[in-house]
Amino acid sequence: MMALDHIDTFHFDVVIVGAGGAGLRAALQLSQSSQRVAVVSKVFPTRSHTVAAQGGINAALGNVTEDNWHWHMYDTIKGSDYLGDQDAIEFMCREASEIVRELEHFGVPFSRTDQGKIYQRPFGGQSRNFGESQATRTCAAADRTGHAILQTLYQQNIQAGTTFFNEYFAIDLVKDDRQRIAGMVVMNMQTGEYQLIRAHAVMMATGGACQLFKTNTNAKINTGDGLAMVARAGLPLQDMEFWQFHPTGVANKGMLLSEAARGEGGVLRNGLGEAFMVKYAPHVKDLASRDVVARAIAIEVKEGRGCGPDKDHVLLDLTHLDTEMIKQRLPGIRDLALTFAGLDMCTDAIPVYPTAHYMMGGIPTNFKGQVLTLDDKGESIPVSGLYAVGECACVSVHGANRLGGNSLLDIVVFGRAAAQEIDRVLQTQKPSDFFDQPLDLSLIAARLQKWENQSATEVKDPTGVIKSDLQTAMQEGCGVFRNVDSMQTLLAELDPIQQRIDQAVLSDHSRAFNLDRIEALELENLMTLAYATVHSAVLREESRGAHSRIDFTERDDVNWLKHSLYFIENHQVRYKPVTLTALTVEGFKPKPRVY
Amino acid sequence: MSGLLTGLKAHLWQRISAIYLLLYFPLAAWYLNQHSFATLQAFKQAVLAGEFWMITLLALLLILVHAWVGMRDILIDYLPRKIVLVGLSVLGLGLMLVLLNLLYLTLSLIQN
Amino acid sequence: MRFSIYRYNPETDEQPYYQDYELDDALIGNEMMLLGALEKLREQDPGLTFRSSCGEGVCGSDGMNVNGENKLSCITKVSELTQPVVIRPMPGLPVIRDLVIDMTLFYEHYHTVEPYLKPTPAGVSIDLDHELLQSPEDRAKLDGSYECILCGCCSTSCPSFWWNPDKFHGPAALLAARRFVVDSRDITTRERLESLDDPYKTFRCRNIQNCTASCPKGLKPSQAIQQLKSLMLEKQVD
Repeated sequence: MMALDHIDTFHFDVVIVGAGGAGLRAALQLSQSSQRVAVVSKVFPTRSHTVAAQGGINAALGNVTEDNWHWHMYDTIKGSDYLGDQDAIEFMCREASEIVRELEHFGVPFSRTDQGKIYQRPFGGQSRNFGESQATRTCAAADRTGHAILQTLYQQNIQAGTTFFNEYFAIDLVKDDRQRIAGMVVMNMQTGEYQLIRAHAVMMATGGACQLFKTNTNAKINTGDGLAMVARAGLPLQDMEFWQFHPTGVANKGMLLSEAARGEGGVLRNGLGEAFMVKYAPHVKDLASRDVVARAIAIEVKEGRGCGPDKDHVLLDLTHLDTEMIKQRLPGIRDLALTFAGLDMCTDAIPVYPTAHYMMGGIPTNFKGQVLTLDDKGESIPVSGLYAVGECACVSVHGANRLGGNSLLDIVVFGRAAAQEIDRVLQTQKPSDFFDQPLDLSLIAARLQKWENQSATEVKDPTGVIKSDLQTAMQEGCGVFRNVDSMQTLLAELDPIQQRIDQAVLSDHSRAFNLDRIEALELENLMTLAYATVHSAVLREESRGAHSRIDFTERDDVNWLKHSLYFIENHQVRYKPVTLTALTVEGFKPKPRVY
Repeated sequence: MSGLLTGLKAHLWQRISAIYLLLYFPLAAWYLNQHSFATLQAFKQAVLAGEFWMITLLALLLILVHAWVGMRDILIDYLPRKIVLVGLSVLGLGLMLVLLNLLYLTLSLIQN
Repeated sequence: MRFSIYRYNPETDEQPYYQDYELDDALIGNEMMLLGALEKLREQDPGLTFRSSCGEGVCGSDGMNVNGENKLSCITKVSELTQPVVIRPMPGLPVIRDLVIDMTLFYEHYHTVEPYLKPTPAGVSIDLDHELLQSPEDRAKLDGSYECILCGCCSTSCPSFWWNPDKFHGPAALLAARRFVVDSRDITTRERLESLDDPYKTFRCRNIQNCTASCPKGLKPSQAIQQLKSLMLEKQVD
C-alpha cells in the first residue's frame, strides 16, 4: 500500500512522543544516562502546552510556612476524592522537594522570598496538619511557572544533546510479529513523508485532550493523540469520566486565569455582589478544591445569581488587592484579562466561568511509568516496552480531581521516574536482534490511505465542522454536571458523528505542512476519547470529584471506589481496585470530603 | 581585515574616538578663533604650536580609527557577503593613503 | 473585511502570490482576534496554512507579518487593523508553505548562546539538598528576558539579521544570552561575555529597535543587547 512501502527507518533506544514538561524531563534523564533518545513533537518543544501553566508547582519546602510531604500527601488524596492510588501519591509527594530544588538548579527563574529562597503561595485544597489550616505550598515563577519550567527543561536538553524530531506528527504504535511494542510511525509535517522510528522503549507524553470540549483552557494541539494510539493498540484507558473544569476561565472564551489569583487573595462574587464561596466551603472559601469551586459557580449561575446581561458568569475580584503586588506576582494573567476581557484586574472584576482544563484519566500506569493492562484473569500487568507520563498518563495521582500545582509536579516526578525505570531495564535488556523482527504496518497504512481519497470534487462536510459539532455535543452532554439523560443523548449523537468522520474526505491533498490532514487525524483521536469518556461516565452511578451526577449526587465507596478501564473493542468498560495502601506510611481511609 | 579592531575593541575605540573628537572640535574652534589667519605663515604657526599640534594630530588619527570602524560596519551591513572583503580592502587602502598623506603633510609643515 | 494573504505551496506554485479573501463583518465583531479570522478563512479554504497552538499569546507559534509589522495573530484584534489586511510570512527566513517559515537558523542561534544555567564548574554535580539562594533584587534582573516565547517576531524584523542571518545571533538569541549573563546563579559570566565578543554575533546590532517595537510580550531586546555591550566593557576594564 502507498505511503508505507518504502519507509525511512530510524533506530533509537527510546522514542518519546511529546515535548512538554514530562517528555523533556524524561528525555533529559535518558540522554544523561547515555541512552539514544528521540523526542517526537508536533510543535517546537517550547510551544508545548506546559508553557501555559501559570500558578506553580507543589512541594512541601516550607519556605513560607511549616510544611511536610505527609500533609501534601493527605491533601492530594482528599482532593482526589479517594480515587487516587496512594502508593503513587506518596511517591510523588516525597520526591517533590528534591525535584523542585533540582529544577531550581537547572535554572528555573523562581520568584524569591526576602531570604532568597523559592517563593511559595497558597493554593486550593492545601492544608497543614491534615486539614487544620491553609498551607503555602505552591512554588512559583510569577504566574509563568509552566513557561519557566518548560524552557528550562528544553535548555537542559540542548546541553544534554537530545535528538528532536520537531514538527513530526505521531501516527500510531507499531508492534512486531511477537506483539511487542517496537516503535511508531510518524509523519514529517514539513514534507508530509511517513517515517518509522524503531525503539526498544516507547514513551507517551502527549499531554491532555480538552479540545474535546467547546470551551477549554487548552491549546489547539491538545487532542489526546497518545491516548488514542494506545487505545487503538488494544490497551485500556483509565478513569476517562474525570475531566477537570477549571473554575476561572475567561467567560465565554476559556482562557485560563490561574488559581494563583485566588491564592494571592482574589475573591469570587455573584450577581448580588456576594462572596458566595463561604456557602459552599465555609472553612477555606475560595481556596476549596477546583471541583467544589467549579460546581459552586455553576450552581450560582443556574439559580439565577450570575452576572452580566445574560447572568451567565460570575466575577473574579482582585480590586481590593495591592496593585503593585498584582503587577509583580500576576503579570501574565493581568495581561490575559486585558487582552481577552478588555479589563484591568487591578481596577475591574473579571467575568469568569468554569472551563474544561485537565484530564485526570489517561493511559493507566504504575508509578514507574509502565503502562498497565488487564490480563485474562483481570489482574493488572505491565506492557513491555511501553511507558506513559504526564497528563496523558493516569498513575493515578489525581484520582477524581486534581489539586492546583500538582500537574507540574506530576510531569517532572514521573518523567524522571519513568526514565530511570527505562534506563534500568535497558541496561540489561537490549536484544540485539530486536530491530530485525518484521513489522506489520498494514492497519496503519489502511488508516492513512482512507485520507488519500481524492475522488470528491467538493467537500460537503469538512472535518473542522465535525470537530466543532463533537465539541459542542461533549460540552452539553458531559460538562460540569451530568445525568443519565444528558449522557444517553450524547451517546446517541456520537455514532452519527463517527459515521461523518468515516465518510469525510480532505480538500487539501498536498504533502507539505498539510493542516487539513493533521486535523483529520487529530479528530479521529478525539473521537476515540469521546467514546471512552461517555461510556465510562454513563456507567459510573455516583458523584465523585469532577464527575458530578445530578441523578446520583453522593459518593458511593461501596460500589464505586474503583478505576474504570475502557477498551476500544465493543466499548467495553472493566474495573480495577484503587490502591489504598501507601509505601512507607499508613494509607488514608476514605471519609466525607468537606472544605 | 575584518579581524582588525573588531567586536568589543571596535565598540570601545569607536566610543573613545567619538568622545575625544567631541571635546576636540569646540576646543579647536575656540583656540583658532584667538588667532589671525591673514597669512599662511600665521595659520601654520597657530596650528603647529607645540601642544595644540599634538592634540590635533591625535584627533586626525582618531578620525581615521573612527572612520575605519564606522565604514567597516557600514560595508559589512550593506555589501553582499562575497565582496565584503574586497570592500574592506579598498577602505583600508584608502585610509592608509590618507594616513600617509597626513604624515607627509606633517613632515613638510615641520620642515617649512 | 478584506484580507490579502501571501500564498505559496511548493508542490504547485512556481512563485508566491497574494490571494484576496472576504470575511463578513458580522462574524468579526469587536472582539475577534486575527487567529480567529484566519480560522474562519480556513473554513473557506482549508489549504490556507499557518502555525498556531495556545491561542493566548504564550506559546509563540503564530508570528506573522500583518500590515507590515510582525505580530502574534492570536492577540491581535482584527477590528484594530486597516483594510485590506495584508498578511505575509515573517520576513528573512525561508518559506515552507504560505505563512509557515523555516525557523531552523533562528533556533540554531538560540542554541549557540548556550542558553542553560551553569551553576557549578564543569564536572561538579549539583547539590540537590539545598536551593541556590537568590535575592529578590537579583531575581528581578531576569525580568524582561526570561519571559521570551521564541516567536521570532524580533529577529525576523531586524535588518541586521536579514543581512547576516547565519552569523548575527539576532535579538532573540541575544536576549537569551543576557538572561544567563545576568543570572546571579551562573558562574560563567565572563566566558559567556567573551564568546559574544565578535563583530558578527553581537556587534551587528545597530540599535534600530525594530525588535523592541515588534515584541508581542513587550520585552526590549535592543536594550538588552546594549546592556550586554556595556557589561563586556565593564568586564574588560576590571
